[in-house]
Amino acid sequence: MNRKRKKQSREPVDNFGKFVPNALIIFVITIFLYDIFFYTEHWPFSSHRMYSTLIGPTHVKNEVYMVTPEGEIPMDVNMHLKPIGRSRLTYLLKNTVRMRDKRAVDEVLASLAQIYERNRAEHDEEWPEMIGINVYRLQWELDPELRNLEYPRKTRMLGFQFQ
Amino acid sequence: MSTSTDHTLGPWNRYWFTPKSAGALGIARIYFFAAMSIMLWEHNVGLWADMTQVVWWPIPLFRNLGLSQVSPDNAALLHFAFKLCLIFSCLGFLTRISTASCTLMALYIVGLPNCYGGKIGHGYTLPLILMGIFAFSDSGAAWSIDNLIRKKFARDPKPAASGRYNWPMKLMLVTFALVFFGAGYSKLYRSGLEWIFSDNFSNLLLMHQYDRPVPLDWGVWIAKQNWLCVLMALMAVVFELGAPLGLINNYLKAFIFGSLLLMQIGIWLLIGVKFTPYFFCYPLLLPWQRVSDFLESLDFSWLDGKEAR
Repeated sequence: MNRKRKKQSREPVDNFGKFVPNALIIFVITIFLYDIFFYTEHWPFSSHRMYSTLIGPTHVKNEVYMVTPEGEIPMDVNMHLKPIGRSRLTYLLKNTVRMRDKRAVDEVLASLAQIYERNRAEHDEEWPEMIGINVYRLQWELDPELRNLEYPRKTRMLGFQFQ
Repeated sequence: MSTSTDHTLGPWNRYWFTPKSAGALGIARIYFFAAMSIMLWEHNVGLWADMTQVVWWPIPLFRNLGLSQVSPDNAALLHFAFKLCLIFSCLGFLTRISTASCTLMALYIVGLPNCYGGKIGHGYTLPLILMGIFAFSDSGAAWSIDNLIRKKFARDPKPAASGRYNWPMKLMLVTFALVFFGAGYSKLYRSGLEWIFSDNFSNLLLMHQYDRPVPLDWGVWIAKQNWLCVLMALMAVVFELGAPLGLINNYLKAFIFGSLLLMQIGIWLLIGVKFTPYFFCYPLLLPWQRVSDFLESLDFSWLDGKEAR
């Protein structure tokens, strides 16, 4: 393969050709700065505030357990409830509980069960049969030695048994 | 436009519209859409069809456009069209249409999960915005099937260097800088200096040990070293707030964005939060112009079955 250098010609952009790029540049910068300084969200633009609040010495998380004929086992949310994922499930459950509507809670849990069954079918039903779902709130006081890792304060938040 | 306006806008025009070859943008397009294909190939919104509409709380984009959950059949069709557009965008075939379609479909596909349950994800927002920039740019002018087709009809198919190939790469860099600046600013705005000088960082490291297995357990040791936690938190905020300095020149760009990349790798190793979409986007900051210049200096006439002179 031979090397060959060519001098490239230059073509300036006229004002008309600059109009759309300029409009886009100004739009992107303005909306970003607006979201950052006014602390708003215009998805996909955002102030990217993740982890910006102070984290205290207490940690809380929700854990979903499936009830099987053999007993209760924790769910691998990312796998069993694909495409929901762990962090989205936490918000989903928190906000559902806040609705204080028993029917809404039952519908959400039934949806989760349906998603589990669909994923289970894709795995040739190797996964256990689910006859109910329980959601627990796990709470820890953060310990630098992690001595209490296996011993959270556990409170049942939601429960659902299938007919 | 008057001379005085030209003078006032001189630095602006120089920054965004200094002529550059089309090659850098073309190669960046190939990389970006290949990376997006890997990342978004399996994103099928049909999987959300089983979710109850009780928790359908659409984000403003969806609410204002009246978008809703599509049926599984339509989702399959959408998924197929999206994958096709990703491939076309990567190869540079009907580039304007394919990159624009890709962006619109990606907004729907990535945005839909945010409408369920009230969690708005930000992991994919950077690639979405970058994809939008490609959609508005003339990224198919080089290293594309479109260009090969043009070759058949034009005597000199190589596009002249132009500012139209420069601004998209610059705007991508600015987008990176604004994302990180926003992250740094919101830490100080919401929590003040306490974010750096309190137990916050130590608690952050420990909290994730309770959540999931993390790649390295060093976070537990670091959490006990108060000075190190303060130093790491300080560096995170300084580099995030300083991201716009990376726009000044290539050395600062390499230093600041290289440091931010290392910071995000560190976050993944210490607390298990992986910024995969960002990792896919960082290579866009590489000096593609040099790669393009090198590739363009090679003689590919043997491809046409002609002897090089």
